[in-house]
Amino acid sequence: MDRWIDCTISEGQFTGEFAVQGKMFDSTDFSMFAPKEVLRFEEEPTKNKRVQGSIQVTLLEQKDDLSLIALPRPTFENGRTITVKTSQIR
Amino acid sequence: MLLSNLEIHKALDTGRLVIDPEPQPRTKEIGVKYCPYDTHTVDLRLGNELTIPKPGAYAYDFLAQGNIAELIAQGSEKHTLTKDRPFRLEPNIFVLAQTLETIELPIDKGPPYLAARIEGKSSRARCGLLVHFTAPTVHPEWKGQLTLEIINLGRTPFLLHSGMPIAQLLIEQVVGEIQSNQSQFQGQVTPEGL
Repeated sequence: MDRWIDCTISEGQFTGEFAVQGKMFDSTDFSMFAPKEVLRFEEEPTKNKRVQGSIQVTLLEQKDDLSLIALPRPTFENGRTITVKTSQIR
Repeated sequence: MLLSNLEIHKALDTGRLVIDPEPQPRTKEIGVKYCPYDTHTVDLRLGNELTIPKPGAYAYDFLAQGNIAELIAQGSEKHTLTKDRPFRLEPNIFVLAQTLETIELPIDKGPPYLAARIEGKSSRARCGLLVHFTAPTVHPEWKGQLTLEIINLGRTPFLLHSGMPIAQLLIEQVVGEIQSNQSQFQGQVTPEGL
């Protein structure tokens, strides 16, 4: 089942790749590069123009209001698996 | 355990390894000038896009949370290669590129799972060209083009042509099951090169 969390998307280093920024459970940020196939956005980001969108994730564990998810690519800060608030997952 | 060329072909046929477009021909026959397969490797070609880091007044801080990807992207310039316009890589210049081929190592068929390593080619290395220098590993479940970290350590410029064989891929078999809960990786800083 597809699950998604909100993120901010900006232009990446290659065509078809985007820079993605999102929030973990404690409001600290994570960032990564991800291909278009795992992202949803209405308007494609351009140079110096960020857009709001969402990124596809895999739910691994859920406990109370926290969820452990796997992202499609590793983040720069915390590896591929991060904890988010369950309410962030759609 | 590394896969031989015949095992690589089998992995391609069974879908445990996907290389798109698939390197051809699989064997070298009379009159065929080039075959991308060697005893246990398959050549990958350079895609048509380079990213050239720009000098900046900032410093990358991997302990800072949150905008490293955007900062890296903003600090570089895209360059498109065309058939008649190769990129002249000057000595000591670093660029990023991608393989023309998309690599996929699916895990949905169960074990044995496959992983891969990208390596340079000795012919290019003799000219001082590195095509990766720290991130050769392609993990099981990966799907996408491979990012190349290219630097010319030679003393002569090197022409990068779109579609030229630039690297080689070694395919490995991963022994055992893979833990689907990847929390053991949490907290690990994994610079993406992708």
